[in-house]
Amino acid sequence: MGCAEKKAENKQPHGIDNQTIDAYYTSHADFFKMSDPSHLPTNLIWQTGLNEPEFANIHAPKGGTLHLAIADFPRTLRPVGPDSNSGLRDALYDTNTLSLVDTHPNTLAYIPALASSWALGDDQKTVYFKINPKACYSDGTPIRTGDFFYNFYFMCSPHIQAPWYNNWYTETYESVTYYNDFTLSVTLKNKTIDPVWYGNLAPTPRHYYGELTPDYPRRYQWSFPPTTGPYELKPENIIKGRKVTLSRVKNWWAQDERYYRGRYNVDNITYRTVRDVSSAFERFKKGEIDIIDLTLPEYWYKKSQVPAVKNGFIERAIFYNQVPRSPAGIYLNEQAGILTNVNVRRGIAYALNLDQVIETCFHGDYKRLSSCAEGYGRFSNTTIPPTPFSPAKAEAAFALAGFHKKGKDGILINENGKRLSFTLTINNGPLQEMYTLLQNEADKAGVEIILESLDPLTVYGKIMSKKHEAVASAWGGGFSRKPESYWQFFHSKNALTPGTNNITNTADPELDVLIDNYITTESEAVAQSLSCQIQEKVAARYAYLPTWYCPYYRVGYWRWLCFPEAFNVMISDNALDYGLYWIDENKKTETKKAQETGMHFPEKIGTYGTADLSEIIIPNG
Amino acid sequence: MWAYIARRLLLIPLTLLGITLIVFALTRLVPGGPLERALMEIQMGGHSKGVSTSPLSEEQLSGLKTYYGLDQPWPVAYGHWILKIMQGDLGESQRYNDPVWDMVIARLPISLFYGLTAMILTYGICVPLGILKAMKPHGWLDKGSSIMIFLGYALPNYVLGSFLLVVFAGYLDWFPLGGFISDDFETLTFWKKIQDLIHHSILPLCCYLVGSFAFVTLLIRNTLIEQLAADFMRTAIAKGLSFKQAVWRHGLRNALVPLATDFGQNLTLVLSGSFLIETLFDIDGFGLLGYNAILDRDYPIVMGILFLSALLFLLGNLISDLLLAWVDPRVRFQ
Amino acid sequence: MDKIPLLSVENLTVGFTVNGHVLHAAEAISFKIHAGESLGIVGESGCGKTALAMALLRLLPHPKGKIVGGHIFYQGEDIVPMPLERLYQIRGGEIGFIFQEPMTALNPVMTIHKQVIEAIKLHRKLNKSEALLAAIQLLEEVGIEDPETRLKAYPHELSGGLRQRVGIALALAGNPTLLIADEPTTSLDASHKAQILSLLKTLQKKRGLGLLFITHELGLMRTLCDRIAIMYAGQIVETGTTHNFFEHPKHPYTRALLAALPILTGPKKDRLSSIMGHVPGLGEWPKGCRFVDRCPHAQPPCHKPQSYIKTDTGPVLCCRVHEL
Repeated sequence: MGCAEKKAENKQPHGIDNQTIDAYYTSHADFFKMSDPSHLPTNLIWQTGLNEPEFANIHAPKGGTLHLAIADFPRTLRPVGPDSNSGLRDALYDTNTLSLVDTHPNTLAYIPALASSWALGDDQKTVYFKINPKACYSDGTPIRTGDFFYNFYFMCSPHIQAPWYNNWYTETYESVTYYNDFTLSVTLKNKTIDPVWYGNLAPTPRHYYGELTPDYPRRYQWSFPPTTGPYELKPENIIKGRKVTLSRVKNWWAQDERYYRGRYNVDNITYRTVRDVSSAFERFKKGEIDIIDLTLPEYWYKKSQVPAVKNGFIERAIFYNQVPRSPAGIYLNEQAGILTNVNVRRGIAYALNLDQVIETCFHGDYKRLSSCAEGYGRFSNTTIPPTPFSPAKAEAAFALAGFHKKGKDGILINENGKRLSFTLTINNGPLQEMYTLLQNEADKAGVEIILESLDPLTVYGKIMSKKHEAVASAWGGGFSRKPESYWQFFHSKNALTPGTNNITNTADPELDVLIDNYITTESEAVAQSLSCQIQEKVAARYAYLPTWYCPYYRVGYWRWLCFPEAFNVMISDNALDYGLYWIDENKKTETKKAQETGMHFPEKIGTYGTADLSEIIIPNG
Repeated sequence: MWAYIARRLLLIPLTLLGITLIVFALTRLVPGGPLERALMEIQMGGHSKGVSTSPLSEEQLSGLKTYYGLDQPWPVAYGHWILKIMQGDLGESQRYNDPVWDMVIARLPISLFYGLTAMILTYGICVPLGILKAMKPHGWLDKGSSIMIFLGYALPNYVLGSFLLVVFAGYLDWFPLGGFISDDFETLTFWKKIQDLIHHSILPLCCYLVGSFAFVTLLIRNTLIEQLAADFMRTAIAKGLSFKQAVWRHGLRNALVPLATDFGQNLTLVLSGSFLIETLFDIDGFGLLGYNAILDRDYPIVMGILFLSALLFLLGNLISDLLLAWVDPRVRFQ
Repeated sequence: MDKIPLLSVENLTVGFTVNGHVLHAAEAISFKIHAGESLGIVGESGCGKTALAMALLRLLPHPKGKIVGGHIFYQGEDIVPMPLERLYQIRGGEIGFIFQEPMTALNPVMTIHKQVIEAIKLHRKLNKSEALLAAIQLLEEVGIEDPETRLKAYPHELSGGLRQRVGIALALAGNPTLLIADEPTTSLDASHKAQILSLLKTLQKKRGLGLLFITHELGLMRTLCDRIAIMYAGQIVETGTTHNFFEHPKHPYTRALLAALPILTGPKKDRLSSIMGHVPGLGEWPKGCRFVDRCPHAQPPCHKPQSYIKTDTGPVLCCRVHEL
């Protein structure tokens, strides 16, 4: 592997003061513990995770360039700090970083990454890792225990201007222990059913950043640090505002390892800024972009009806994935006006004609979401049915809340003459059409929804100050093994506190107990049962009214871009996730030739993944 | 006249002070600033590992406020900003961490290219066309070109842009699908570079031109028609001038007077650009910079562009006035 | 009277297109002007005087105004069918034209210098310095003091009287033999009016110019013109010498005009306002005598089409001229 040769080059680009960092470790000796291998517990059962099936096509050829488009050029290339959540973040960091272990994307078992083996301590709080001696950064520097120490120094530094990271690392971890350069352990503050998930850290290259100073955000604005992942971004491949090109790390240390061979096959991936969606589609049709997302019905059903698709030059695929679904829905503020009454909230749930929205606006392709944590396997309560649209049941519920009479305009009023009306705040984006439909249908049940369409930042400001009545919101997703957001969304500690995610202002002592127990339990079975109870409880409060989710992703791609037989893995979020694709240069020549000679290939639409929802994820415990 | 110019020049800093003060105050008083944007990005981003969702402490919040320059009351912050401006420092973008000046200068070639080309084409085509139309009003040229002009004018320029893009760049493949220059621009020979630039700029230029085209052509046509009916035109013809001579020597100069009233505003083309056209054609110009800066709540950029464009606007007004006085001797300076 | 007149207008009809119909603003106009002679055409506003004047140099607004028929002989040469090249020489070079509004008749954005020199150079082969000299002389001739300074001025920097003097200078720049003055004093105050009139008279004498003076102010005629033609509703109703005109008016309209004239120089007022009624508009003219509705002597025959009747003072367009 390339590491050894380059080992000598100890780059110190920014004047590293190693003493300051070491002094930091010393002054936090309770956290940064020094030990030696003789102190490792003897009863550890080391896991290697090598018995899981491989999921890539290990015969996939390497080479070629993949051409992609991004809608906006990032403000920064930094992984951490202000504005680091750019459209390129996934490609540069989230899907391009190896941490100590990885999750098998089909079986969800842990598989080796930087660590070749790991073990769980008796305390349900400590995880031990042995680093693969071959592991190194893209610049050849080997990865050692010190890089994980440094990760804490980095993530807890005030100079990264990211207090959320500071908080996570100080709230979650008790200590990190050095046994030798290849062995470390991570201890959590609290017991948990899945310590490996928390203990699974990624290293930060100390040799690159050194001591952090207040100019961190500016100094690293446009630099890409040495990576543990398969692709690197060289400075000469950044054309600010227009294009970046990732290149495959030469002799990447993991390229022939089990679970990594046959992946990350293309030599270069270019991301060109194409801000206009229709312009991007034109580029795709010309073959300047190799693959494009067709999830939107408009593109799948209409715009992709072009000759290149009919002639088989462009193939299409629909992949049903199995991921936790984003809790999209209507969040009613339990502490606001008429919405304090659970019967009103229940009535509103019956007054939402979500099936019709899915039928008319989403071509029937989307699915009803039924709970606040769907797609977590045994952690998801599948016995909660979606609330049907029923004006009669809605009116019955409203009647229980005192809204008996209908006014002239068909809206219910109570004895004091108060109208059954509330304001629903929505983002001024493409979903406005859907909410207008809901608004019209709700009239039939005698409830008036006043739509307030604002720009996302204003909506955010409003719900964070808890001044809203109701808001339609979809929260970002991301894979996790079990629901992680009960506390922030539904614990009374976060109700009515500005700046927290409990935007329903739910404060239910019984729910609090369930959530507290869910966090602290050591038993997976108990956690699963609590999780289901929490969902049931949340559903019964009718404060969070789940709406819909998209059970698949759809793409179109030029036929020279090839995918494995299964197309992709179960928990993939898009076609390129996990780097299973490759480029077939022969097919490319063949296609170009066919275009010139007027030859055709059969049109191809592939359906992959599990469309059947009964086959839900079952995490191994 | 010099006293007048001096007075006008002295008024510029005062006006700038007023404009920037108001906008600066607005950026601070309107809810949803850079801090909220940063908070939202994290909090709405979902539960990814490594990011805590518990509320930030007061200390952490004030740290972020300092980072985004929100730690001082706005009048004080405005004072600092003005002091910096007086030293020629426009500050630094909060999101790109680049000096605003550098970002402006990086976009100058683009706006100058499109601005100057559009200006030259507008005047170079519209003035003669307007004259031709005025000399034979309601003739086939006048009617035909009016239909074209109004058709173009009625189409919003981004609609036209989408159409041009899909048809001429996508379907017919005559032009590239956006961009200011090719990626391999640096390696091209001089003539190839020019060719490349023209190849990329034709479609966006059409969009830029379509609005001002109608305005200038019809302004010239209508004022000239008005001037042609004026008494002094009859005098000129009674002197023995032919109609054409009379138009060129007498009518045209008078018809150019309304054009002079906003000619100075061409100065602002230095910072010009339409965010819609730039988005459509992926041109990294001022339109996009300004629009994104507002969406991003990147107030140093917003203020910097505001300051520069207000300055150019005021100077442009002064130039327009001087120009107007030059073409129309009846205009006096008070 | 044997020699060719300077200007001989025969049967000239001027039409304007209004809503697709051609309406006659001046109909079957005939008159002659000999060299050195001055003719005044008098009529109320709207009677077609200006249309007639414009038609003489084919200055009618295009494409609305048009010469419908007749001839305009300038020294025997018909202007109506004349090719444009020759017309350009006649305009300014042979016939000078003075306009009603000196304020708007001059180009507001050009100096007097430029406008005068342009007119001079169009018709006289002079170099730059000669032309300048000619311009200075010309301004002096029209009574402008300190011509060198005035040349540098723009029209708006001059008084109304001075502007009209410049207008006259422009008309004279090409050394014409005939001047057409279309209400040149209307917009001036009394003192300037008198000065301009005397200037015109002096110039006419000095240069031996033929002069066609068009006005609605009858009083101005007495001293300025040798002969007078009265226009009413597009027609010349009476022509005669100035003396006969004031002493022996024939047409009832002429009489009414004279009756309305104040004795000597009375206070300025609209002198024709005392005639009952008003001039019929374009296209509303009666079939017979056009004055019939306002004429105190109107009889049934007056409603039939009229023709000129010879009298001792000249032709008169009134069937009852001998009966009155």
